[in-house]
Amino acid sequence: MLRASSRATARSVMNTVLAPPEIAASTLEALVRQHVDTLVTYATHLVGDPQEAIDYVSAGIHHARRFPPASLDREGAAVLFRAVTRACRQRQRFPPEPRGLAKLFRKPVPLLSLGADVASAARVNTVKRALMATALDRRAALLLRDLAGLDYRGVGISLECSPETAARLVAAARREFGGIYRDIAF
Amino acid sequence: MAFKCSLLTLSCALDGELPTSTQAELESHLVSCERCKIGLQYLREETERIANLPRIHLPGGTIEALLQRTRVVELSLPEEGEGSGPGRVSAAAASASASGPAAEPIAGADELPVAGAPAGDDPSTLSVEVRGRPAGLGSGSLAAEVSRAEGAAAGPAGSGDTLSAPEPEPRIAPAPPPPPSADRRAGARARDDRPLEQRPPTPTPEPEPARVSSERGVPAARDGGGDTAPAPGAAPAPEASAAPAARARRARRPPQRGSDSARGRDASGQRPGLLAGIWPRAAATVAVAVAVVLLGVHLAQPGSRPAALPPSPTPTPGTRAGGVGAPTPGAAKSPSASATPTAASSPTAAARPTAAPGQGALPSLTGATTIGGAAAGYSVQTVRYGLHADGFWIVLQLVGGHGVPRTTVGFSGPTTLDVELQGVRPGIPVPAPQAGMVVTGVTAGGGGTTALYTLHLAHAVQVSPSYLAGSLTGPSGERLILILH
Repeated sequence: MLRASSRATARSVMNTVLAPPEIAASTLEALVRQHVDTLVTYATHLVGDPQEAIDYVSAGIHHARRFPPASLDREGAAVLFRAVTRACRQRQRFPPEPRGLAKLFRKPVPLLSLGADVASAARVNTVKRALMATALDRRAALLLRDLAGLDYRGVGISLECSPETAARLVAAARREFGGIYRDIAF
Repeated sequence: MAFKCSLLTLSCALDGELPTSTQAELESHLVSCERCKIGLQYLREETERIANLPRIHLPGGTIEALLQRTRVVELSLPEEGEGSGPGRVSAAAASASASGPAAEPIAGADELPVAGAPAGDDPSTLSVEVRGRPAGLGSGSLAAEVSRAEGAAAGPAGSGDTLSAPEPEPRIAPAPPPPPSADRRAGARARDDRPLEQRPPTPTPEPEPARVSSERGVPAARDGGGDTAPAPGAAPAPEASAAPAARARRARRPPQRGSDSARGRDASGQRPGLLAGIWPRAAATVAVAVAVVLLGVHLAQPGSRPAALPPSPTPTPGTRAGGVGAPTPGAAKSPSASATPTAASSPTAAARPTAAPGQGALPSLTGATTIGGAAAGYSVQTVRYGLHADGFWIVLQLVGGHGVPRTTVGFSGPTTLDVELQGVRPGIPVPAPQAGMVVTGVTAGGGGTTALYTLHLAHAVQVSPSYLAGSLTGPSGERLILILH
C-alpha cells in the first residue's frame, strides 16, 4: 500500500504525463519569428526545393503548435528543427496534400512568397549537388551543425539521437560530403 | 601515451566540442602529425562550404501568412472563434451592423454562413438569410429582417460585396409567416427573365396572396415555394384555385420523399437550387473521366507499363525500378536526366535509341536516353570514377568546346554500356577504373565529330546520365555524370 507521499508523487507524475504542457502562446510565436528564416533555409537545402521546404516548415510549426512540447522553453529552436526535420523525413506537408480522387477537387493553395533570396538558394551548384548526394540523416546533421549553428546537443535533439551519435553523424557527413564534392569538383 | 587521432576527434575539435584536456593534446599532436593537419584543413573547408550556402530571408508578409496558416498567431488572440474567417459573418457582427430598432439577433446562427441581398424595393431594409440548420432550429433556412439605420447603407453587412448573390432557392416561412426575403423575389425576377416557353406551366399564386408587407408592398406567400412564387406585380389568383394548385404541385413531386438527400433536397424537404442535385453527379462523372484520361496518359508513357511488356530476355536481379534522388530536378540541363534506362528492360520500340543521326556507329541500344543538344569542339579531358552511397559515378570532364554535347546512353548488351558524345573529338583513351568496380573496362571509339565509349560492366546496372550545371563548370567545359545503380 502506498503511503500518502508516494500517492501524491504518483499523482503528480501522472498529472505531468497526462496534462498538456502549458506553453505561453507568445513563446512559440517568438521562437518561430526568430528562427523561421533559418528553418526555411535548412529545409530548402535539406529537400532541395523551396516550395516543398515551406510546406514542411509549415507542417513542423503546425505540429509544434498543436502539440507543444514541454521542453519548448528549455530547448528552444532545436524543438522546431526537430519538428521540421521530422516533417521533411516523413514528407508531411501543411496543408496536407489530398490523396486519391480528392486530388482532382483540391483548391489551389496560395503559394507563399519566399522573397528574392530563393533563386540563389534554389540554384544547384556543385556544393548543392554533393550535398544532395549524401544520406538524409547525414545531410541534416551537416546542415544543422554548419548552417543552423546548433551544437551537438541541439543536433541530437533535432535528429532524435544522443549528442554522441550526433557528433558521429556530423563527422561521417563531413567525410561523405567531402568525398563526393572532391569527386565532382576538381 | 600517444594521442589517438581520428576523424571524429578532428570534427569535434573543429566544432569546439572537445574537452579542454583533449583539445590541448590534439593541438600538441597536430604539431607533429601532417596527416591530421591536412584532414583538419579539409574538414574546415567543407564546413565553410556548408556555411556559405545561400540563406533565405522571408519577407514580413510571408512570415505573417505562415503564422496565420499554421495558426500560431491565433494562440495569442483572446478566444477568437474559428469561424470568423472570410466568408463567414457572426450574428453579433450582423446585429452590430444593423443598428436600427428592428434589428433582431439570430439565435444559433453564430457560425453559419450568411447570404443575403439588399432589398430591392426599400433601400433601408436588408434581408439576411442564414443557410444551414443549426441545432434547435426548426427550418433549414432562417430569415431575419435587419433594418439598416438611415445613412448606413454602406455598412459591412449591407455592402453588396460581402453578401453573396441570391439564389432562386425556395424556402418555407416559419410560423408566424415572416415577410418574404429578397432572394425569393430575386429568384422570381430571374425566372421572369426567361422566355415564356421556358417558364413553369402553372405559376399559381398562393391562397393568401393579398398579405402585403407594410415595408415593401410586395405580396408574400404563405408556402414560400419558389416554384410557384408570383412575380412582382402579378395579379393575385382567387382563393378557390389555391387548393387544386397545391395538390397539383404535390402531384408533380416525385413520390420518394424518403430519399430527399439523394434528390438534392435537404432534411426539411425543401428543394435547393437547380444544380444542387446535379452537381455532385456531374462532378463525380467528370472526376471519373479525368481519372481515366490520366490513367491512359500514364500508361501511354514508355516505361510506365512494365506489366504489359514482354518478359525480359536477361533478367537482372538487383536492379532498381527508379532512379535515386541524387540527381535533383533542375540539377541537370536535360529534362530527361531522371530517366534511368536499364539493361534489363526489353528492347521495345519506345525504348529504342533515338537514332544517332547519321552516325550509324551505335548498334540498336536498349533503354537509350539522349540528353544535351548542339555542341562542337569538345574533347575529353579526364574521366574520374567514384563509388558513393547512391551508386558508381563516372564523371567525364569535357573541355574546349561550346554548347552541351548531345549524348546518347544505352545498352548494347546486358553488360555493355555505350556512351555516344556528339561534338566531341573521338578516340581519346580514358583510363579504366580500379579492379573490383562495376566498370571493368572502357573502349574508346567513334568517328568524325562523335566520340563513342563502350563501358564493359561486371553486372547489369541502371544508368542516370546528366550534365552538371554549376558555377564551377564554367563556359569552357561541360561535365557529364553517369551514375550507375
